[in-house]
Amino acid sequence: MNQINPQEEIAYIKNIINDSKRIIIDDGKGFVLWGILVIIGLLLTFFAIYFQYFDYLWLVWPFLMAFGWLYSLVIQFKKEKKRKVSTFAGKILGAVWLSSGISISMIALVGIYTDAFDSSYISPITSTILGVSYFVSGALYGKKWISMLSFGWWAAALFTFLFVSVYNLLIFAGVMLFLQTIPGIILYQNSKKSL
Amino acid sequence: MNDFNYQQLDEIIHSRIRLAVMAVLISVDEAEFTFLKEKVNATDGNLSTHLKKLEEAGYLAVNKSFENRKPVSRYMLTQKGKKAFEIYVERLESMLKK
Repeated sequence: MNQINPQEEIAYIKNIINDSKRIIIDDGKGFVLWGILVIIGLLLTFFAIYFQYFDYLWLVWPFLMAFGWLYSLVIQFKKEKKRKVSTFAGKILGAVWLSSGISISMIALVGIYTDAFDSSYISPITSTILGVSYFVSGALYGKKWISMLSFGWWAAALFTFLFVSVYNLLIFAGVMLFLQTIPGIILYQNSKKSL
Repeated sequence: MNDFNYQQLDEIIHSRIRLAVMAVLISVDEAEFTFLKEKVNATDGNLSTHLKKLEEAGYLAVNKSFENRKPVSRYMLTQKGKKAFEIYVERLESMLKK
């Protein structure tokens, strides 16, 4: 490496840096897990309201959330054990999803059990927060399609804020399927390919 | 061919493997030995020698631990290492402009 070409040298450094930066890969498991849990919760809530059967409804969300958080912790613990590299972007991504998850859980539980606000607005508030998380995630992953999903979340938030109805539970379940669960499956497949 | 005097460059970084290690570590917070080995495409012994040299120069910090009874070494750049890498790249760029 005595006489070298600086242009080649810089290109070599850039290549390594770009390659190393691409290692923020989410396996999408968290997206799929929370997507399915929320869809189950929304459908159970809808049918409870529709058939006026409220006996066990109070149990549904705390149970689903407790399960979701416990399972997420297990997934995260396993990932940490396998992780060979840590990046600043990866840390920000983790912080974004953890903080939005805590915020959504608080809003949902407060909305249901304290009557601080009309529980019909839980879905649009959740959609608004998820829009932010997807927008930031897309930027960090360097994947436009993930950022674009946030516009879907914000559109769903706007619609369900404006037109309050029990059917919003079904709309939100559909949004959860198309903007959370299916993207999670795509991320999972992509992460398998990149291994 | 735009050749230049290599003596103007930091000789500790001025080696293919050490430069690659520095470039990887500048883009991540910390990385395990196995990750670096995969990225720079070097053998265990060769990489260890280069890492030792960077560590002795104060460019790298290493955190050694045991996971499932296996030794794990995690490497990260020190402030001195980051500065040295910046200067190395700046020198390359300034030579390109000449």
